[in-house]
Amino acid sequence: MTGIDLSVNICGVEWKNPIATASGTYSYFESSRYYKPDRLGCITTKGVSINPWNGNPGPRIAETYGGMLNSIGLENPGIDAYLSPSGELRMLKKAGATVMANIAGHTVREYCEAAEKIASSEADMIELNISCPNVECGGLVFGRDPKAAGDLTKEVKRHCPGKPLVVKLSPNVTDITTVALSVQEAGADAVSMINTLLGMRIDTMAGKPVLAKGSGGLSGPAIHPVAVYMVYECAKILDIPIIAMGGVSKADDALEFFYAGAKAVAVGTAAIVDPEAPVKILAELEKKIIDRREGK
Amino acid sequence: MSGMREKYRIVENDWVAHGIFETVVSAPQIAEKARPGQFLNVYIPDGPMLLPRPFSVSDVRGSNISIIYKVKGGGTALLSELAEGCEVEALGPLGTGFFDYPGSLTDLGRDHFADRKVTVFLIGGGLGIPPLLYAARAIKAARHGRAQIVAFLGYPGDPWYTKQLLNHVDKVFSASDMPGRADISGTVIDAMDAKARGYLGDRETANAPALICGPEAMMSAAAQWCAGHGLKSRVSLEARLGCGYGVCRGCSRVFKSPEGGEGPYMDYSGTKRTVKKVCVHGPVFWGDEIIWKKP
Ligand SMILES: Cc1cc2nc3c(=O)[nH]c(=O)nc-3n(C[C@H](O)[C@H](O)[C@H](O)COP(=O)(O)OP(=O)(O)OC[C@H]3O[C@@H](n4cnc5c(N)ncnc54)[C@H](O)[C@@H]3O)c2cc1C
Ligand SMILES: Cc1cc2nc3c(=O)[nH]c(=O)nc-3n(C[C@H](O)[C@H](O)[C@H](O)COP(=O)(O)O)c2cc1C
Ligand code: FES
Repeated sequence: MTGIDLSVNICGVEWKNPIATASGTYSYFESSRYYKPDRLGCITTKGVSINPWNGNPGPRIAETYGGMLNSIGLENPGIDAYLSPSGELRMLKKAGATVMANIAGHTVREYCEAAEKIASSEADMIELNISCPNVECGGLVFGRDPKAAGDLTKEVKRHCPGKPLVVKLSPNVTDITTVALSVQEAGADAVSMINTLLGMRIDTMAGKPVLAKGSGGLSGPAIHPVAVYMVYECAKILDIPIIAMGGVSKADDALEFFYAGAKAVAVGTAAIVDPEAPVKILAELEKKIIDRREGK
Repeated sequence: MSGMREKYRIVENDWVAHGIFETVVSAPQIAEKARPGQFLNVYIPDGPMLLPRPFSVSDVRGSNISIIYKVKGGGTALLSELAEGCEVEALGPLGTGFFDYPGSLTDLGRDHFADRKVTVFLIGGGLGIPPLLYAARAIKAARHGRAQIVAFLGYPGDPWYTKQLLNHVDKVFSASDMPGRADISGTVIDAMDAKARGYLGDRETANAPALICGPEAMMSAAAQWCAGHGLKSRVSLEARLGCGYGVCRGCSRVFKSPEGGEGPYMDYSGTKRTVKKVCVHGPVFWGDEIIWKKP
């Protein structure tokens, strides 16, 4: 511990530092074997839906140059398991973590029901995933259309008035700023960006896609410049804070996001590759900031 | 806290058979903890190849740990070319192994019949064979003379690694699809049909699960052979992994589960199902919980 104060306030919730986990790349029971969750500013949990989802058939993972594709398809045990006394949320709160609960749905109604349940839980904030490229209906259907995204945000906000609502944006759009503005107008308290980019790899021996589903979502260092640009463009026009993600694997990647206008940063794929990545990046960031202050 | 992702020094990097290599790293922290059937995440020292390559622990010798692998793509090719003295990063040991349940063959504290003599079948195919060696050594170490180990090994082509195995098991039957290359011409199942029955008369065999590791089609046939002969089995599954330690759900697979569990699975026959992660709940599972993929 270096003793410097890196705390940030994200729409009313105090984060002890600006580093979070990205949804789908953290699991309390497994990640806690490597670091305690209260060391980070916030833990974003895997997307949960009203009913359990099975996800897509395998293979669901493919490596790409400097990145990876996934087509998990939001496999999750359902919101009741998540909220149960032995569920992930209770465990995280017991461990002193700040928690952002990521929710998913197929329909407006499913999203609203999920938001309502989280609203009366211990979670500190809600992240609305309208950008998953891996589910047939829901997800991107909302994230791609500024009007649909705004309407959904407004509806969901009505069901969780007391909790900060963060809307997670998709990069798979012509102009991300129009979606960002639309959800801000509809009452989003913050946005997080970016979710994965649609992509595909083909096995040239078999002549067919590597992923069983065909396409998947691209993440990791390969997408970092795309994310930095999108954060930069959105920061120019938004009044609400931006939580940035996409390819952060070292402190300098996080700094790029801060200079682009983000208030906090989440680490995803880097944690798949090294369980300790979020805390390593945080330590490196603290050191960089101290070194700069001391003019090194 | 688990072992972290760390750098380890390569102490040996040897050719084993056509396209197959053994890499030995000095990794006291891993060697101390690794149990048979567990695996390591190995990170290829090449920036853009981000994802870990999972390899089963094929042996532990002192503070050294050995993996044996086939060169498949870019990652294994690069690994096989690293010189002794180079460093590679690894995370582990990971996963649930052959004996990671109470009262297993090596858990004599819980085994009320620790004194009995057991016969254990090892059934391996191709690259699934080396991890069985470490399992055999563990059984012998725990039970001393009170275990007879019989290995049935299937190869596409010439057998390899049988000599190393013979140091730790009592009998090896090899099978090859190339006539005249091995003890039996045909599959590992042909070898079991021909030779295993002789050992089944031994009543204690029934209490000792067979250990199975190899390609899925071979494992499916072997597990069904065992079930048909009243034998339980422990099977090491393979899957495309992302993280290898349980956070990404890249490796999930649906299993039979009498108690039910995670997920909405209920099939028409009323058998309950559940989702498990191959990387943490496995890679070794009970043969009778696996829903085999259609070839
Ligand atoms: C638990 C477990 C234990 C394993 N143990 C062994 C072993 O002891 N010996 C051995 O030879 N092989 C083993 N494998 C398979 C081994 O991991 C792959 O052959 C290896 O990752 C291929 O890497 P590559 O870079 O050469 O291939 P590429 O095709 O270039 O790899 C690209 C990506 O696909 C993944 N991948 C490719 N093939 C496989 C595969 N068959 N299974 C899982 N991931 C794959 C790689 O990890 C990488 O992320 C094991 C796999 C698992 C899941
Ligand atoms: C395996 C995997 C699972 C993911 N699951 C979710 C999810 O459930 N909900 C969500 O909003 N985003 C999910 N994401 C997207 C990430 O949270 C993140 O937005 C994206 O991966 C970009 O960041 P990165 O490059 O640091 O990984 C997932 C990403 C990966 C790689
Ligand atoms: S490989 Fe990531 S959960 Fe199993």
